[in-house]
Amino acid sequence: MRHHSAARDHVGEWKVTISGRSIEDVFVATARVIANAAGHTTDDAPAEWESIEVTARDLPTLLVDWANELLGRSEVTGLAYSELHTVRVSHLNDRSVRVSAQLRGKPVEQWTSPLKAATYHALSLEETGNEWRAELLFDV
Amino acid sequence: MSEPHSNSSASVAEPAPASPTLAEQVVRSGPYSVDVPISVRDDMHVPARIYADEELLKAILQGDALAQLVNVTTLPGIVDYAYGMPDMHEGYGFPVGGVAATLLPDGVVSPGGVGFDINCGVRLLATPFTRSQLGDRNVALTHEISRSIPAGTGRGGRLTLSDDELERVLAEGAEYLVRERGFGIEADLEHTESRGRLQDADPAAVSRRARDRGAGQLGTLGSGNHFVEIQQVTEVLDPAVAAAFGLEQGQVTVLIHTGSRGLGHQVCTDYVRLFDAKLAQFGITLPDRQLSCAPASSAEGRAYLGAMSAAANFAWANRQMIAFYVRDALLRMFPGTEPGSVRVVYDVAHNIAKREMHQGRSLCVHRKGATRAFGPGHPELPDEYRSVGQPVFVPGSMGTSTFVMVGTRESESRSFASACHGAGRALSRGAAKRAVTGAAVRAELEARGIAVRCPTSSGLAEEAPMAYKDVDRVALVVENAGLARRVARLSPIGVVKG
Repeated sequence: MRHHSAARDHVGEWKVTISGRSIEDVFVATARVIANAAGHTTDDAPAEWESIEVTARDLPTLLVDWANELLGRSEVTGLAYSELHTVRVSHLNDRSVRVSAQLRGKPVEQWTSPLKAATYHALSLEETGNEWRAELLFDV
Repeated sequence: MSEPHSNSSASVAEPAPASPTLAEQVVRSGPYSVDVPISVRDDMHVPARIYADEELLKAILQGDALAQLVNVTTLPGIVDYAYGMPDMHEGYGFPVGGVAATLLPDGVVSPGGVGFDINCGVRLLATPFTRSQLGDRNVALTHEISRSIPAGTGRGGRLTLSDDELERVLAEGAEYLVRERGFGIEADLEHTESRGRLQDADPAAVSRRARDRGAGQLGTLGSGNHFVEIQQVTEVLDPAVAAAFGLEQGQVTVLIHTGSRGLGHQVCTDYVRLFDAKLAQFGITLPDRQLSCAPASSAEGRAYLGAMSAAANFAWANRQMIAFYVRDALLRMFPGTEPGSVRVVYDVAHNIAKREMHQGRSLCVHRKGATRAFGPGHPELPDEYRSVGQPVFVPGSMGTSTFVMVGTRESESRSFASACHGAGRALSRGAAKRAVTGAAVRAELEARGIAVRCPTSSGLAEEAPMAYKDVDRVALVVENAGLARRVARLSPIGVVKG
């Protein structure tokens, strides 16, 4: 498996540990955590492919901003974005970082997501050995 | 080389004593309060004070809430104390149940000190019915309210606002719905904190994404611990104040708990992100990024306050709309009922930052999971409450009591006129789901005659009574600490969960 996620106990909120073989895998896994939390999707065909691009000053910040972009977009469009391709994390000349991707989602039949936002609290993202590992706390 | 002699002149150094933990440095400051002195950490600007008895303190010290409260004391411009309420628990940045005030104009405002659900709060309605008049129709009424109010997250309100209408809601809050759209009466506004409208709201400071999220969500509950609860007054503890609030034994009441939905979440997200990127420019360093802040007088700080106030207005409009649906459900079940006879007792926020005067100082008071609790005589109170004080509502968990309390004069000097907002979580959502099933929670509540409507079983398990602290103890400690006094106990007879 290229990536893995697991929820951890936190009294107030929802803490998730995400791991992947590449940094892109971590971003894909985060998107799927959010999509899975959204709720049961319909049997309709997926919507059209969309572009997404988020820029931030460093990788951990980028991960939070990516998660929040997906949460907000999902709530507006009513789609759970579980399909991604051409996911690319790049470092820019001004030392900021960017993630870009194509994604598409399916309509959510009954919303169950408790996620309000991803937070910077107790945020970690690091590469150890041949694995990237992130801890991300969501407000619920 | 000979071995050294093992004698008294060649002693092994004693290991350095371990540094005391934060919990070990807590000092009792009163029968119901403990302090963390300012000397505990170099970056503290003020001490921290927690209102709790030994039992509640033990629970508070189990997680990171204490460390989070100490982090709050590092905010630039903070005055007096960072206060922790008896229901305090670990959050992110600020603990939930935290109160902190900064000195204006240049003290900071921190979106984390408000929370993502801006103006999450509660509105209590008093009906003209008694429990005996309702009889076993609590089940039908619960069902009727559940059908009337979209509960879960995402989209799906009954009312979708145009851009212009949303602009009016952001600017004028509940006032717009009552005066322009007929979704309530003037008395509703008189019994709402700030009359349901913060005048300094700036809709232009609310992003397009926040507007898009909010447009279809007016009149919706949201998920998590949001609910509408049908209750009865089972105990009157202060008859004079209860009479002033229009509450009497056996009366049926309805409590609405919700906030600003996705619009508020997005406003907080937008400004935490903005402030986080600008901290270096402001010359601010913080122990926790989620405390990111800006001077209230800066362009960024003013923008956040304007956006936060607009989101707060949206939340008051949201509770106004839900109250309209509840009134409508009651009228359908009891034809001929005068709509005005279903009264708003009060509506109060528990995630907000307000500009307030305290002891001659202009302050930005952050209440995250804490309620304003003005005492008698405060000019902002409605005429009929001015002599007794402001209503404060302390809901427990599903199936447990809600306390109606009243603010005290003493709370002004003890907590910037603040009290707790509920029972506070004792277990994580995961731990609650491992301990009990949604089906078991539903069965227990229904066996006690409490009708339950909830979109998901896991939602019920997460909000099980045992996941929360003892609300009786929390309310008693609030009273003993002088922050608010108990007035009445309300017990649930029907719950609609988001």
